[in-house]
Amino acid sequence: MKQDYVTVDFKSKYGEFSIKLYGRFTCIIGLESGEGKSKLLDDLLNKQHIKETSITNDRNLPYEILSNAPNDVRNYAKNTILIMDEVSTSEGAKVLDMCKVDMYFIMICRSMPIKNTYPICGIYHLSTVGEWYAVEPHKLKLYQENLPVDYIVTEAEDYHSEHELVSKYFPNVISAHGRDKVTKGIRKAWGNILVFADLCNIGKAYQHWLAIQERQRNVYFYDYQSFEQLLYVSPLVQQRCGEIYLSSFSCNTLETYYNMLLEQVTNGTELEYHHGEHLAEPYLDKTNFNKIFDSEVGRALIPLLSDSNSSSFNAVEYLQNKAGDKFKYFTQLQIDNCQTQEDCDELLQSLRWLD
Amino acid sequence: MLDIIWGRENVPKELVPKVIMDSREYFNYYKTEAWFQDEFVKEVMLAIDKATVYAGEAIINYEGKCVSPTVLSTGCKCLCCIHFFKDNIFYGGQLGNNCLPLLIKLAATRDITIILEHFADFTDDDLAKGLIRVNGTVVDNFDDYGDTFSDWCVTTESDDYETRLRNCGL
Repeated sequence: MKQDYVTVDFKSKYGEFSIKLYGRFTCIIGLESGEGKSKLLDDLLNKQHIKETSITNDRNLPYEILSNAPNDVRNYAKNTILIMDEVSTSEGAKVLDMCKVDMYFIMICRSMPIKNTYPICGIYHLSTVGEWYAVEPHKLKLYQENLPVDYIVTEAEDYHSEHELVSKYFPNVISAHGRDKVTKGIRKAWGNILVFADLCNIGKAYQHWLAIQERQRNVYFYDYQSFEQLLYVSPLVQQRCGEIYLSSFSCNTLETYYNMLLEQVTNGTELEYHHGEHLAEPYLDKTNFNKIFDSEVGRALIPLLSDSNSSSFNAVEYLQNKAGDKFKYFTQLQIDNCQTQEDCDELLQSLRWLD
Repeated sequence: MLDIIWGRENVPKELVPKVIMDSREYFNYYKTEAWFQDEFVKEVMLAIDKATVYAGEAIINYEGKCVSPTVLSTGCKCLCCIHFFKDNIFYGGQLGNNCLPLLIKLAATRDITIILEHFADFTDDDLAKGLIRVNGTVVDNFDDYGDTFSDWCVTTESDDYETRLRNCGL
């Protein structure tokens, strides 16, 4: 697996910084007004001719600096780096056209343009101190290994993808039923909350999640690009299916990239994976725990999930085994309220009314 | 009251002519000397850009240098436009989080409508004032406000979103 990036170096009279372009869309955002976004673009746009600024990249790709989205993005050569300010004020149609071309867009903005996917690694924050610029990576608080967790919230639907896998090992797992509903899922949980969301497709939710973390200090996001990345790099998949050598730039988005990698490499095998469908049995076999999580991406979960696996009562698994097909009649709230076997037995009693 | 329209594709057709998406040139073109004698404008300039009025349209910036008002921040310009152009609907994507308390202060005096396409982080105190409305419903807490944003984000994933966006004229 090769996650490619282009390194772009900016030098101006007021500072130097580098950013990495992991996907087609990279954002340099400023949450506050007066942070210097327009000034940065003005410096880049107007000071090149007097050699006060320079922009270079490690692949010698052409670049253009624009104050808005271009009238016709097809006028630029493939793989051009377009640096733009206030893209969201441009006509929606022009912004949509940007999604359909093979270029790199660096957007200096506050409102991330619509219908574009942004990986977390493609979000930077701009700030200025006096006249000096500083650009830093994203500010989302990520999970630290060995931090105790009370609840896990997954972007995935009930008993699909990461929800299906993690529910095998952790008792309190809530499905948010979609990235844009993660904040609603967080509200159903308490204590230390760990969120599994595809950070390679974070989109507009990023600023909302920052605001949640500002108010609730105990919400953390797991540091992975996607669930598909977790599975693809796992020893289970690597040993049984091998790997594919493919540049991440061959796909429009990182989400598509990891999904394609996993689906292609497992195609026709016992580990065959399809996005949105139930996981193949080997992924859910507890004897494969280390083979799934013992990778650079999954290792931080081992202490959390193996502790839960060995010592905590898994209400979900107990109810599934006992209720069988009738498991589907339980609401998420009923399942969440079952902490012990006694709670589960009491809930199972309610099923006798269905007989 | 502050009426928020999530997404430009949800602006009613009859209101589209009133929408100003980019405040920067609008401010630069329409500003007058009288604007800079207005107390609200002075408050905005000081709060957002640490700038004060020297005389006429001459501004003293945070470094004590005399500058043109055209170099004021976009958020500052947007707030000024909202203040003076009472019949227009402005794009709130140019307002940073530090502009929002001033926007609420304006909304306490008259009805304002803005379009938002990002999560504008209003403080809990400002939300509690009950001055923010989405789709005609007052939202006065972070959770309810956040839900209106999340619900809109879900609609941007629908199959017809692109068509609605292309057809909205904005």
